Amino acid sequence: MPGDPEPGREVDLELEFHLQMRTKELVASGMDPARARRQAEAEFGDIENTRQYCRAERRRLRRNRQWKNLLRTVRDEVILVFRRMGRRPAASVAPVAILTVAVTLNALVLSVVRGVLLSPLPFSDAERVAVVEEVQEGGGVLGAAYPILSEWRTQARLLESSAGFLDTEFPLMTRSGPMMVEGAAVTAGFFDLLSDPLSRGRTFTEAEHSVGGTPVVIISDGFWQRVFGEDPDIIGTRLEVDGRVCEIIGVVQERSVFPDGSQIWLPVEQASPGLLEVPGAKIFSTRARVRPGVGLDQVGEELGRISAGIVGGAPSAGAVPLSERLLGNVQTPLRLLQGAVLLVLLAAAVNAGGLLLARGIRRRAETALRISLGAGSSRVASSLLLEGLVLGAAAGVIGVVLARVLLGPTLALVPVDLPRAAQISLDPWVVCLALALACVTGVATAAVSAFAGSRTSPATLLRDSTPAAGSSPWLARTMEGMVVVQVALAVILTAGAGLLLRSFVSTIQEDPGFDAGNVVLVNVSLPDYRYVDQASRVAFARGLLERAPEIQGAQAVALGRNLPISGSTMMSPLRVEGSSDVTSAVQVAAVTEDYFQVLRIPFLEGTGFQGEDRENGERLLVVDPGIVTPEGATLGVGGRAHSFFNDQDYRTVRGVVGAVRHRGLRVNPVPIVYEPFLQKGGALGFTLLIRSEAPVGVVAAQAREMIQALDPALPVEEVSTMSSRISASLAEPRFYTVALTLFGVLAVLLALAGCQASLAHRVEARRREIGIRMALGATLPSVRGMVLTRGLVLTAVGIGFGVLAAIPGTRVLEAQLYGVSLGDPLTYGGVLLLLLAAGALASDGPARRAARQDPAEVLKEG
Amino acid sequence: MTKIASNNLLRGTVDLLVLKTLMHGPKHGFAIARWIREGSDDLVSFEDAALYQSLHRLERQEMVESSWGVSDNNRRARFYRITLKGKERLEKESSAFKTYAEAVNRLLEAES
Repeated sequence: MPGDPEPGREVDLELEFHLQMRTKELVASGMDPARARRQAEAEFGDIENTRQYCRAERRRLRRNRQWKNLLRTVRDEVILVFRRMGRRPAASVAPVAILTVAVTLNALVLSVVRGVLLSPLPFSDAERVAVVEEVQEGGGVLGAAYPILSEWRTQARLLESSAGFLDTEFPLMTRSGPMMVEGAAVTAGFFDLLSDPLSRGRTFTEAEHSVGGTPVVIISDGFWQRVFGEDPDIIGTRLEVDGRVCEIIGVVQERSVFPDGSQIWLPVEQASPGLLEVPGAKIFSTRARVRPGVGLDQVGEELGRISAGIVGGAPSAGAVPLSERLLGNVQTPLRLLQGAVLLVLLAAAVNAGGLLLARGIRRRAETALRISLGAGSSRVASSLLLEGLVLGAAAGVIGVVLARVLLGPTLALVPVDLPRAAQISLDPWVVCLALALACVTGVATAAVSAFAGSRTSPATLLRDSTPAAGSSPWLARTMEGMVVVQVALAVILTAGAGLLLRSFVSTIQEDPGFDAGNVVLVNVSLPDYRYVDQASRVAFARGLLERAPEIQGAQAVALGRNLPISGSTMMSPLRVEGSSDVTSAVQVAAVTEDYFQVLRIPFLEGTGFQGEDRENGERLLVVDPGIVTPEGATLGVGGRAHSFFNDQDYRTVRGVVGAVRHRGLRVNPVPIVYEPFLQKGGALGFTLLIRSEAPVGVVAAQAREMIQALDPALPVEEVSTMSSRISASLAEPRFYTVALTLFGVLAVLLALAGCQASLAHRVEARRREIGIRMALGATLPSVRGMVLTRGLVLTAVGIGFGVLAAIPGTRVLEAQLYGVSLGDPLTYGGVLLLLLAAGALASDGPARRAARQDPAEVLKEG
Repeated sequence: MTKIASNNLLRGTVDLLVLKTLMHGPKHGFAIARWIREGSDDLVSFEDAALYQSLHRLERQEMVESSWGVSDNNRRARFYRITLKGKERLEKESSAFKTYAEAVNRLLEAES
């Protein structure tokens, strides 16, 4: 209140008042004034302490009051904003809608990035965990053999713990019949690598990690829910796995599941005892936790040393950080995606910002009134920013809800083998980040109009009559600048999309070397405890091969292992007769006679096995043209060679077939050698191929029937087609291409809308000028031409900036491109045309409106 | 009769007495001190320091509010008034205090 003492002195004055009053009392009773004063002071107590205390309390009081005032101001402003938005809700719909779309996309990408790249790996101290493997020449990677693993576990001093596992499938027998379930056969110490994996039960003991150990199994949380209905007495329940009745001893929680997709774990000693003895079976994936401070090269060296002394051990091993192996391939494209979607957000913000700016211009009268009534320009600006925040928050909430709805369909698009895909979800972290992003974007969107609003001079504004006239040149330039930015962003995104699209097209145009149409694939997996010897496996295979031609519409059938685009590579060098050394490693496949017919792989020379695919048949091979001896000679018909897969004697090459893109459409063909399937003893896991024009469902059903007829206890197998396999192999590039195309289209639409809005505003602002021109004789087409030119100029400037930015910007795409260069003229030409067309389209509406004006009306307005 | 010395009185009790005093109308600090002294026949008195600490604390807690005014002898002084919150607190705590005092009294007078 005016007249109050200043804050620093209040307390002093108050206490002084008291002392003087008491002194006066004492003086009135006869005491000497000086003594009275001393008495009063003594009676008071600790004055200094009280002074400090009271001052502190007053300071707190003042702060509380300031805080309350601030909250009240904010609350008032928020109410004002809502009231204003409530009066004309339609005006808010467009900016909120635009921001919502961008927020939804961002939330979806964030959940993918979060799940794949950022969610914690199930290992404890994951940064010290490494993948140990043996890298072959030719690019194959081998794991470790069981005896090596045991040696590493006991002898390696640089490792804290290590374990191996086999990522495989197990046949189970449940109440509803046999089923195949993904799981892992693990060695001792596996669960020690994971961080707190079990939600109940215990892990395997050393005794259980032995060939005669008690049959036990550990299941996943999901499996427990789906198959056992979360039965609380799960520990101790029996489950028949692979013909053995096992006891369930533990349940793994979902976030600790490793390897991805596993539902059951067994000790490898019980699951595949046969593998333990074979020194050459380098099939165990190995993970190890390294002691702190130890380098991975040292680890590789030590492990190599240990294994070198053992039969079948490699003289060196490589250790690679886990995160790199797991995520190495996906980090770049995912970061790309994240960057691209942020560009979409930026474009949306600029677009919405333009809308708000235009609206602010229309509301100038109200703003001017507020300012002249005493609201400071900062109050006006903060009010506008607050409005932006509210819009952003609304977009954030709706966007997150939409993202939740769309998460399912998005996951369907995500490539199946994306690591940690199971962790993708809209978790609280993602939601908060998306909301924060939305709010910040909302505020940024309003920033330009807030700045403009605070600069309005009431006097000038209140003078003006027309809605858009008198908007300063600064405003017009800013609006056009925003259009330029949007066009530039659209250029970047469509250039990226165009490059990816062209890459995708180049990829699918690649000839895989075979005809994938109408080929049905049925995987067969024979349990090793019932098909113990080769004879039984061959008998089964033969039985199947005999019946299969009866499938409806079957033109050719075959059996095979290591098929193209299946992801399995089995490589071996070849010893060629007459050559001093072995060749470099080639892909080895085992197929029956009609394989080449089923897949329509052409014979370039010679013929196939022709009936020799039997035990006593001639030892034959079919090769492709790419097999070269160290001396440089190509292996052809009549040549003799053998692989190192259970083969010591030479086989004669009977035929040469066309090369096949075994590893994928984008990978150049590797040399392949085909061995006779039945002669080599069949296999426990192989595929039945059927070329038939009948519908896939019919073929699949009949094939399954035949398999069941041969062996009723075989679990139902996975059926697919060759074309779907190829399609699946393209899932990753498809995902990124679709995403970026979507972003590009959105950006173009935004740029179009923004350009149109800016031109419309310009036409409105220049009505008088246009009216005068028309009165002076300018023709309608020339008026329209003016607007069109402006639109195209804006677009062209935007394209210029966009191309400049796209050149370094698209460099990150380089690894994703196929058959297309970064500066591909066709792509950029397309982008240019697209955006110019958009600019022309955007100019259409405003151009017509300009031409429709009646000059007389305009001039009358004065 | 023993005089209850200031360091025996709990902070809360000082606050309570101050609030009660203000129920009888706005006062400045000196007047409050005098009122309490006279109202208890000089049995209850405490250091003025404690009183002023209590007043400022109560104001920060919004139990009382103050403003500068003019005293009887034309001097500038800070006058305190009880607020609605203060009245509620007074009611709540004085009944609690009475219950406590009765209980202690009963125990002290119980037959041994």
